Amino acid sequence: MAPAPDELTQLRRGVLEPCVLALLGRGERYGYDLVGELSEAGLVASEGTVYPLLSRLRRDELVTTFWRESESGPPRRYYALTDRGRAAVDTFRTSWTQFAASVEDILKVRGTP
Amino acid sequence: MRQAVPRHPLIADYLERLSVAAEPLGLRRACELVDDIREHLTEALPGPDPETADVRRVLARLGEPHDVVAAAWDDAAPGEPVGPPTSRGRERWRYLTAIVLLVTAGLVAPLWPLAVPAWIAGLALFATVAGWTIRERRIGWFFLGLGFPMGLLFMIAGMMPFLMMSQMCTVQPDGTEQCTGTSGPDWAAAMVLAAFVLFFVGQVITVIRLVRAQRDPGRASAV
Repeated sequence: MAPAPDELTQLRRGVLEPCVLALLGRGERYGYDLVGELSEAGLVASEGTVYPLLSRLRRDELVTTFWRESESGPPRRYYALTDRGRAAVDTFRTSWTQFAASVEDILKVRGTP
Repeated sequence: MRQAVPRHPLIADYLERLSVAAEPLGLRRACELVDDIREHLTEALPGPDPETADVRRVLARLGEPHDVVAAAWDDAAPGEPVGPPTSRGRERWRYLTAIVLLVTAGLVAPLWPLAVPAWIAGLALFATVAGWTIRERRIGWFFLGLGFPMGLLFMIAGMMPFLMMSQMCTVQPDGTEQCTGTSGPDWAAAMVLAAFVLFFVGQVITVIRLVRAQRDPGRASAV
């Protein structure tokens, strides 16, 4: 059974921020690129809602931004992870591993390996 | 950095609704959000004149402006406001008072000692009301802001001799009718009357439109 829309929204809301930070941990990205990856992964219902999150992450100094010339159009605003952001991803990764294992264990149907 | 977004009426409408909805976030955050969305649109729709179907698809994926702004409230940092201003009652009082003052100033224009203060206060209040699009605001300025000057104009036009029936006709002993004075042309009076009716109808429609816009739940965050 697929999760109800509300459940999915809550799940997305909980993991969106660390997923944004984790994606930026793989390398700097510009906003549209980042939003596209999150959308393809099914982590956002409305792409526009990612921008306020990016804005807040910048104010919290978890990410930093800079402008870079583009070959195909106007300059793009790139986002990159700060040391503080990197630490936040590491913390989440540890918590998530334990959390996911606990949930998996509880959800496991009796009798299945 | 301000991006040159593709030209399309749907995009212009979307950005305008977003700007209005984002007003309560404060100037800096509102501008930042609108600039981010402009940049997204520029990337998603390369070229100056995109197809309508593509525009619709991109805007649908972005989400409704009030949803985007709601996400900004959800993402407020500690110390920042976490919701739109809760002064809806005061805002309602402000826009209704502005409308009433401007309409009244037009209706009582001949009583100018009463009308002028009402008109000035109405204009000042109207300028501070949030939650209307630029187009609605322009229509409001025209039909409500010009109410008092138009009221005066109609009053003066009504008193002009060429519109007044200042003819006096008497029947002579020989049975013929002799008239003195001038008679205003019927078409001029009809035109003034038509202009008056048109402007009044415009005012009524404007009031309905402005009030509906303020009561639109989709703009709840803007008022």
